[in-house]
Amino acid sequence: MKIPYRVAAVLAVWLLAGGNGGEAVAQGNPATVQALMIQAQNDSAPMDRRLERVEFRLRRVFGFQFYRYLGEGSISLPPGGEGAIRLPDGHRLQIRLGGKGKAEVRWFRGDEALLSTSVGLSRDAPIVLGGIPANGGKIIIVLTEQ
Amino acid sequence: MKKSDARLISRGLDGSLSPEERQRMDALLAASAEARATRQAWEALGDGVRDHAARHPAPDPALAWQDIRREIRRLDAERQDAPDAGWLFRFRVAGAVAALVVIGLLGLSAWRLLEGPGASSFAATPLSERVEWVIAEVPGASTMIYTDPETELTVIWMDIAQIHDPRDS
Repeated sequence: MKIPYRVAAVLAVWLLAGGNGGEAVAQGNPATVQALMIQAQNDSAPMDRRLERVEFRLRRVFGFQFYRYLGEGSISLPPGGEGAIRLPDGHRLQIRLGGKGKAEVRWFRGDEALLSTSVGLSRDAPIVLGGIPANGGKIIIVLTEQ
Repeated sequence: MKKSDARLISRGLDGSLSPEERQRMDALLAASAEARATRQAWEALGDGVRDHAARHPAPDPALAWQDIRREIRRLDAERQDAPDAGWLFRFRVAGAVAALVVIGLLGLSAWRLLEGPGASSFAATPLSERVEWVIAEVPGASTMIYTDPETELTVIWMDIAQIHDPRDS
């Protein structure tokens, strides 16, 4: 009777691997960090399906009427790993993963450092960096763990 | 000793003599040492039999038959179980492991519902855990940090409206 053994083994591996969708960073596994670059503005802009997961949230928090997709990038890092996500218009995020879901993020525009922070990344609770003026609006970067 | 005398002694020990036979047995015992020895030996034998019977009573036939049938069923069950004992053991172990895994998954799911990401955990997580520190590196800029439990957004906002970026022009 090998099937129960196999089922038990698969379930056990699934459980040990995080099972029902855990956060990789918090568990010490490699994690993928995604950065979504958006321009918030009051000038009219068409709806963009690439923003459908965050626009309704941003609209509740910020006073801007429109949100324009500028670009996105992602990077997979092991705990303690460091790398960069390159974004449009010379923007760049330097990211270093720490333990327990923490990440140190440094935001550059070209060679100019704009912001440094240490944040807890999450799949469902994004971190929003913003406030950089651009083209009559503000640049917003939404960080999530994938 | 004559056969009739031995029978008389035996019936005397059984208590089944008539008064006349009783007188004859008493006369025999008084006259014959062999008769007395025989009677004494048979009395001892009878006492031994009675003592043994008292210590080891004869089994009730109905109960004895039940014991036999029970033993037969037990032996049959052992014979049927013997070839598959290994399979049964493995099945039970696998079942126990699977049950433990399922319990673990349910526990982990419950824990994650209570402690994991979600509306309730967002509200319960202090801001200091979501944003450990912030440094605005643009000269003259200030930062605001705030959270919105409804959207679960944590915002780090730089107020640099008065800072002029040449590339914006």
